Amino acid sequence: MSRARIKRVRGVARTLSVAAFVIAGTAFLGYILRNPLLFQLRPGLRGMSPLTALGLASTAFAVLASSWRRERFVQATAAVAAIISILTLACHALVGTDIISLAVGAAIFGVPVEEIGRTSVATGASLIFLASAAIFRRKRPFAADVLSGLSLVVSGVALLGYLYGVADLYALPMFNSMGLNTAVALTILAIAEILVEPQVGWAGIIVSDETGGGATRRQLSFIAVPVVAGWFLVQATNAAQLGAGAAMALLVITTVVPLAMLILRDGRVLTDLSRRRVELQQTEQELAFALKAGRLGSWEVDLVHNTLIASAICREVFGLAPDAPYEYGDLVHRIDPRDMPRRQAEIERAIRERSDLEIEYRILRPDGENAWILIRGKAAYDDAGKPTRLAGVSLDVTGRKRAEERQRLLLDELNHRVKNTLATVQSISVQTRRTAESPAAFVAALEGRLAALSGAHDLLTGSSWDGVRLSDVIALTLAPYVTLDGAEPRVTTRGPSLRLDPNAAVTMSMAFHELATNAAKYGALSSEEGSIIIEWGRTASDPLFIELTWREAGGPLVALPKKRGFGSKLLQQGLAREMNGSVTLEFEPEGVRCIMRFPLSTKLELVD
Amino acid sequence: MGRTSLHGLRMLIVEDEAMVAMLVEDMLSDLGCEVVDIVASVEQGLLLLATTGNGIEAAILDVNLGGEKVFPIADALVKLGIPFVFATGYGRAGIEPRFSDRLVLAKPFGQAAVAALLTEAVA
Repeated sequence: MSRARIKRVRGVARTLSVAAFVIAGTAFLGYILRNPLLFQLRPGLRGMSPLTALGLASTAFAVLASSWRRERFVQATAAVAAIISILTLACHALVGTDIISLAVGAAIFGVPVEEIGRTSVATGASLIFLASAAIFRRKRPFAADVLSGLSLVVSGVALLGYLYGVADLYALPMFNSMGLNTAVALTILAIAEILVEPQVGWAGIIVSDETGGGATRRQLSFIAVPVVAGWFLVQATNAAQLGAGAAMALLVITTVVPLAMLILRDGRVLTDLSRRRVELQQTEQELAFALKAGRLGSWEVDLVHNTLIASAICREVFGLAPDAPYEYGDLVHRIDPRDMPRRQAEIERAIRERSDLEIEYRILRPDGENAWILIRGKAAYDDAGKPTRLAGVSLDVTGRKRAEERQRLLLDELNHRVKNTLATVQSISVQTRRTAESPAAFVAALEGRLAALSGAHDLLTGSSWDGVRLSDVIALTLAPYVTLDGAEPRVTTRGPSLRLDPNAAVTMSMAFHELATNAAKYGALSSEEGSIIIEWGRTASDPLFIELTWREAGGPLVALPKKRGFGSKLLQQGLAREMNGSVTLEFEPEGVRCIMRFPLSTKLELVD
Repeated sequence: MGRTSLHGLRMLIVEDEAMVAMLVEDMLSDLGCEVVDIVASVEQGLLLLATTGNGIEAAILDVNLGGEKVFPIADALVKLGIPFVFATGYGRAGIEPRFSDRLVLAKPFGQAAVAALLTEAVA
């Protein structure tokens, strides 16, 4: 309910209280001024008694005070009204009529006894109900509603009596009459008392701006139909134009038809409402299904009380059992302390700037497992702009985060390899320039060596950089020199299966490239009859060592090279060092012989 | 320490790729340094340094040695008070924070860069 509406309803309650006070005050003034018209309204009509006037005035004060929530004032004034009513009722019980009013009126104000009004049992009861209602309003709103309702029924019966001219109704046997002004004042005061707290009890239903409020007001206003119809029929019956039976029948007809229409109308409203509720439930179920299918958890934080409501999926992501009790702290406690300041800052920013909240943080589940959580949400605010709640969804993004981490590692690794390869190329070009005899020879040698390096990379890529077989390295390096025309092979390889790690594979490729280039230029591969035998295996003396022999035969007579080239340096220093072994290069007249002795290690492994 | 010339400086090279090691060796030789040894793994490096450092006066450390990091060797060098420079393709990002004040050669590097950084490291 809006504040303006609450204020308006309170205003109505205050106006009604003031009106009741004015009626009571006027009656009391009548006694002071000895003017019976002010409390009788019409000569001969039963007047409001001075006690009733006091009681009504006090109760009107109590209801007014209640509208400003001045509790102590409410209690005091209502107590006065209650005491007055109890006194009159006690008097009725003891002597059968209200002699106090008579005494007060005659002794104090000097009004003739036959003109003084007396407080009826009905009025006394009504006043007690109203005074108690005012006392209970704040703490027991339902009791207050019932008490005011009872008062309304009693004064309503009297009012109806006056309206229809039926004295029986306002002067029932055992009761003496209730004055018209008393009945009106009691009725409007009862309505004021009910409306004084517009958000609770019956008032909350009657003045509600929702569908139910509209229907309630409609149905209550229907009460006017039988009242008005009854009045016309009573007039007609009194004028003897209509028999009692016919009047009753007409009353039933005039009441039943609009009642039926009202019932149908409100029935339609109710049907609409329940249909909409079913649709809403369906939408909610679809939403729940979508959330479940997407593994999305939903959550809502009450920012005023700092409490959390989280869906089962949301709690499950944090490692909590779906049916276990939980509190906000149980989930917050799981968040990695390193991410807490960032999380806090993001939440505060989203609330302050009214922006979307999106954060990813790490959590530690009770089972010790780490996870990444993505949180998206938005804050809601009250009319005054104060943030009241923060709601959104949660998603386990551990898989994506791990993939991102893997990708970052892969990029780092790629960068490392590219830079190392560039350094290798740099090394090859510098070394090649040192030994090249002419620019043309430099280019040719460099191209050959770069091709060997590229070939080694191709082999490694084929094995996902997981190492390659020695036989594959040899086959690739010697491929350009091996004839494929079915003649006797010029290159023979023999040995167990050996695996080289990526670094060793690159260096071995380069080394065999140097041996092969040398053989093609000066050695076995430079003549038609030359051949090369490459054999390897474990050494007899130490089974943890591998010995590989490259032996050329059938080539031209070999002479000792004039200066040590890149190849021999790479073999004897670079390769030997990298493989943690030794390499000897012998320029025998019948052919070059290279013997490598390397220990078995992760760089060089025997495989099946 | 407090040297102004690299001449005769006894160097250790930690590098797992033979071709790169050969390049660095050539560069250092050209600069007049004496390359005491080239090692390709943390284990070999620590073995060589042992407790005395084997007369090594400075070192160039490749950071990534076939998957393992060179930092234990760097720690040993710090303990022995031997100056060193890192050589890596990762740049400074791959260096552990405790060595943030050390010089880093970005691969691939030229002889002039080696001379400059090494001179600064041993000065």
